[in-house]
Amino acid sequence: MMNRMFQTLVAGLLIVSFTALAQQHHPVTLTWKTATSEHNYTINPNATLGDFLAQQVNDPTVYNWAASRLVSDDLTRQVERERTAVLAELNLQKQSALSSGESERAAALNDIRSWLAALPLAGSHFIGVPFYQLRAHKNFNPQMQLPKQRTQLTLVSPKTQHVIKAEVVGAVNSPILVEPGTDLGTALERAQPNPHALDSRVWLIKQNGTVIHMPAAVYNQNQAAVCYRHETALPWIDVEQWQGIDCWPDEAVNEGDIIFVGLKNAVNLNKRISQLLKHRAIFQ
Amino acid sequence: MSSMKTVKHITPLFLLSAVFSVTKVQAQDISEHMIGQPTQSDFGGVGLMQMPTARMGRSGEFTLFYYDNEEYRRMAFNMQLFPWFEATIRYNDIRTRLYSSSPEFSGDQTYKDRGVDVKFRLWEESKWIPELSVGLRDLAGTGKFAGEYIVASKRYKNFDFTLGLGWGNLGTNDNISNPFCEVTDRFCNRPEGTTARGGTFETDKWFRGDTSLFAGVEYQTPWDPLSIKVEYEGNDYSDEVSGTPIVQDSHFNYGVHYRVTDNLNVQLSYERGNTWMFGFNLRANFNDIKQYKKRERKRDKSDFADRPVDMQQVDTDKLVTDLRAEGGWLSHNIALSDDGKTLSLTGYPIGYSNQMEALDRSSRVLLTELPDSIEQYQFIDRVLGMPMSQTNVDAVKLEDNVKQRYLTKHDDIYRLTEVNESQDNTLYDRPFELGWPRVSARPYLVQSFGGPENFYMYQLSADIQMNWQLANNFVVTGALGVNLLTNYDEFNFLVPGSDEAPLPRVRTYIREYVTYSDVWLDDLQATYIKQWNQNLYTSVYGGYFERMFGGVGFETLYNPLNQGWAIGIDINYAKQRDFDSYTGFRDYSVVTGHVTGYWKVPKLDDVLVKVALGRFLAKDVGVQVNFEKKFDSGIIVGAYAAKTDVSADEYGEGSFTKGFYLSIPFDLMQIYDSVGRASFGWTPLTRDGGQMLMRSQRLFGVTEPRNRYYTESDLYK
Repeated sequence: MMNRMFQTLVAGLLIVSFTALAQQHHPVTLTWKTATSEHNYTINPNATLGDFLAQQVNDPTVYNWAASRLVSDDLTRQVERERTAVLAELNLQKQSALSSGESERAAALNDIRSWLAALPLAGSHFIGVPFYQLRAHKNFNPQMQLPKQRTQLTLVSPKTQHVIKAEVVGAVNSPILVEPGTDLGTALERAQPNPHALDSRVWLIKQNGTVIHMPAAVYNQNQAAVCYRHETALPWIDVEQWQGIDCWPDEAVNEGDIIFVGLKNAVNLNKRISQLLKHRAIFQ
Repeated sequence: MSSMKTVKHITPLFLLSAVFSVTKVQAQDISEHMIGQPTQSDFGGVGLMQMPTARMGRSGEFTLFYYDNEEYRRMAFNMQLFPWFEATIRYNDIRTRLYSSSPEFSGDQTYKDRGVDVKFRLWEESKWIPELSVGLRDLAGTGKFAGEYIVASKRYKNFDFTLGLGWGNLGTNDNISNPFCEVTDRFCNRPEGTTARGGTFETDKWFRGDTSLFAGVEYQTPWDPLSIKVEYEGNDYSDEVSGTPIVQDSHFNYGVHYRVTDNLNVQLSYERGNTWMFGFNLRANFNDIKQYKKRERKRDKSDFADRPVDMQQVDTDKLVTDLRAEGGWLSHNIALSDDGKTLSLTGYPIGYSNQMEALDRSSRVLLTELPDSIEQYQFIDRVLGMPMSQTNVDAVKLEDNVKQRYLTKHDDIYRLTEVNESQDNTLYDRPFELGWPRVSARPYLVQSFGGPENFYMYQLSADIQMNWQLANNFVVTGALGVNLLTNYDEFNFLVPGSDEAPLPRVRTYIREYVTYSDVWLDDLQATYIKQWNQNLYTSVYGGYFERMFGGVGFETLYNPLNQGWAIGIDINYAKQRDFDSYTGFRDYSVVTGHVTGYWKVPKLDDVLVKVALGRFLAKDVGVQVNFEKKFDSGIIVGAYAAKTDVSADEYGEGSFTKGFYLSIPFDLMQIYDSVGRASFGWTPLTRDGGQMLMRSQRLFGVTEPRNRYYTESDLYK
């Protein structure tokens, strides 16, 4: 009898202790994926990304840190919710175009919708700087947990030997890959924007998360672009809150750039799709 | 600014080489993004030479401009207020005419003509359709260079082509029939003559009479700083204000535009087939201007080591000192709620023009100086003893962010609310104590341009200012002026005495005021303010309001929190101050007051419009509209106009009161943070109609935390 009571007491104390512990420190599990390998780790909840990588990486030059992403399930759910909303809006605009007899615009909207629906997305934190600089980088060396929930992360790291081509997507005849260094005008010409494309200004999504609304026509080449800088610690914000500033970026596309050609008369929708493209999965 | 006077018949190559030999060394200094940007015309404003283009500069572009030729010298400033709207204010110096035929009045000064130009973009350029703009030149001056145009510009590679239709001064060549004349006969003839008094919108002339086609092209050369311009102009110089015949040997003009640096451009042109012209301009963009700041280090996760574990360990005096030094927060009262979870801080931010910076720094001080049992900080802005607004800070989430506990930071830490003051357990209280007045000094410049005696009239004075809070809601403010430099003693414009003048002389005794003494009492005003509730305020005040008027009055303002609008009323009994003594009054008195509405226009970024309806100093009744646009740097460009029941004839030259001003944050001029501003005004003419009483402690300014506009904050609309 005493034994049973003691066992029950011990079990109860253990449950209470683990519950209390779990409320303070949520377990973090991390899968590290490269193009050729995949490893699972359990992380001390207070550990930072810098701590983890310092233990695991022998030669930091092997990995392309600028393109690396820390994918979280939580953020991916948020991205998927937005994708669903954008798809619904595209469908609404398609129906509206059909009812007003604009069948070609409806077809263009449908093409964008199909492409977006099939796009692999992964809500990601951008790493952006070599990991060995993270500790010194006061804006980004956070602990790897998420508030009030268990944390499941996937670190996706391409290798430096693999050149990530830029890509032109959106209202084009077919998405194309372009070599880094290609002039933006040439890239667009090759992608052949469709008649409903707004090709005078395109959206350029950089590897570091900056989104640039970029003049792309011959006649507006001297106008300022508008840069929406990515805030590392806020990887997802309402596009209505994007604060753009005038900027003059390089006209050549760089490694990993995504050039999104939007639709005419769809400014807000184009902006929302641009934010979704920031979270496009690098590889499955 | 210095100038290079233009001469005729000098070898073009000589001048070209002279200009470029001075500047080519610095050619590499220009930024890549300046290449191909729109350039200024001879009149000021984006254009070719004599003719405008449809182009607009970047929003926020500000250009100071000088241009010189045989007959005219032009000084202007040009402002791109919005991407679709450009305004230019210009003085034309007519070198061939004297200001007046009376040497006693204006000496040998040449004639000056004021003008305002505006241009609106109607259509932005697209693949096949050109940019299309409509503009009005010299629309509110004497109309001597008045003209209207509709113009289109289309770019092809490095060529920017322009084609337009001009009327008035831009259409005297009359090379095409007026298309509006085809619609209605009213547009076939343009009424002749100009308005001597100026200042009116002569809409009955717009787009009427002779019409000319004009065209041109600007070519951006492969050499980045240089562009070349060619134009065919619509003016044949048959109707010019110069009073001398201006020969036009050719309708074609040729020019080169050279960017010396990002901020300095020069333009040289050969116009009319016989005349060289030269000009330069200085530019800046009001959205881009920034200033390095020397600040205290902001506290971070390394500062938590000495954090107290309970309130017993808190050093309140240190807390108050650190809040002031690092967060610019002047504490009046600090209290802890009964449950120990909420700390209320009543006081006022005095350090930073950006409220978010002040909140972030102050909250980090609290995080590291208080135990983690406190979950919320409440910052209550109190002005003259009146609580105005409250910002709640979620301390738990802020700590997560500062310590970088999570991959994603919280973005819902600050919340603006109405004040909910509770002082359960007072930790610190600084009751009001009558102290000495705060005294400060500043240079102050009164100036006017384009006067007959001297083009630029000024008085530079040292203003010794005083602010003395006698009780929580009671303040006395004043200023003593000491003349340092002036040429207002040359001012000899004397309107007839009050018996003969159509309006009481409420402002035109300026010379008498300025020349009476080198030391004067500018203002001395006592103000009591009552807060009825958080939305409603009343002030009563009396004393010497300004240099020309004193009296008593009251103001009531309804200012709901963060609604973007407010409305108020003020009524004043004002008596004119004596200009022959320091403190006396003249016989003239007036009851003046206005109902004033304030509105932050939602669709226009950082635009504040004020509309005041009521009775002005000269007992005229009407409306004053005031428009302010704030740029990213915090610089405010403002314009106002007052139209009353005084006729244009009674008002005199200028027709109605109007003016412009620039308000520059001290933040841009110094490396230390400040909430102050410096203002520079430009009033074309001082006349007696449409003049408002000036006084300090206006309630819209006092209650700034209710609807922030002059300071920055992300929490407000």
